[in-house]
Amino acid sequence: MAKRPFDIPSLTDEDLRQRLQPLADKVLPNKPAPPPSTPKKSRRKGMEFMLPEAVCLEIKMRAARKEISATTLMLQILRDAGFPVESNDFIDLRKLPRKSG
Amino acid sequence: MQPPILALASTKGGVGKTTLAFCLATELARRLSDMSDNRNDGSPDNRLVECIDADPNQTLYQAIRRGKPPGVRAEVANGETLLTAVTEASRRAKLIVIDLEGSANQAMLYACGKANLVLIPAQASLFDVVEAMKTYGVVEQAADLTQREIVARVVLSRTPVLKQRVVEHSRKQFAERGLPMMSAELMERTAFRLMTYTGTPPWEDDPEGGAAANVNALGDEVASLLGWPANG
Repeated sequence: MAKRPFDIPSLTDEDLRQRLQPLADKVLPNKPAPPPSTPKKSRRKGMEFMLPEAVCLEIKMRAARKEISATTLMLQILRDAGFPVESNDFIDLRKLPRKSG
Repeated sequence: MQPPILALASTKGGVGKTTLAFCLATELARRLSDMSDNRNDGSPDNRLVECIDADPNQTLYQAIRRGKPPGVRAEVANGETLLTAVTEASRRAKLIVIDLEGSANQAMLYACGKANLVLIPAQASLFDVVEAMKTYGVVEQAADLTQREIVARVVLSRTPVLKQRVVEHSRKQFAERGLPMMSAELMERTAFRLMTYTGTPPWEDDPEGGAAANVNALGDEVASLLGWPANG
């Protein structure tokens, strides 16, 4: 088919897009891949409970034995009991304590 | 009837696309308004030339909004919206001028695919010769894929008023690489810088000045490429 100057052929916009796609693939820079999604912790909220002193002590001791925080231990217990605790909620972003000496 | 579409394209930034787009849009609107069937009927939206600014900086759009040159209106578009913007502008205007971002991008491909005439501004430097070749290659491929003849011309831009050897050397470099050139150049003139502040075309600011003569020469050549009758 001969090219005709100054004559827009009856190409729809979609036709034009399709025809130019090979050129787009060739000359346009590749789109960067989307960044990997970072896991999001659920929003946290403080709650206060009055527990027997022995229970508080036991929570602290079990957490220390497992080398996890009391909060993490409580979340594990709650998850095992069927509460909606997501795995992302176990991510602890707090800084590790400085080594003394 | 489909109005002609003029695109200002380059894969390189800072070559004078927006300056040239503004100069040509205002100059060609003036010529169109001189044609008997385009006389303004008093409508506030007298839209002879519609500029579509597909450069995210929107410099052309802002300049036209500021200066309100007669017969010229501007819209903004991007790669996603350009084709729709062109279709809508085709219903309203007698000429469409598309200003593009200085890079290879989707809007540039679509503008080249739609345009009747693509002007590729380039300065007198080897960097610009290389980039002009890239842009010209894109236009040629777009013409092949759409089965249309798309006229493309390199326009030397920001050339000094006093002739310098480097400009002639650059012309030879463009010619040796088979790039068709316009004989008129967009010169480096203070009036063009001033225009960016005022939004007023040189022929309105100083009709007898060198900048107005420069724009007139560019207008003559572009009008001829568009198949318009000679100015007079």
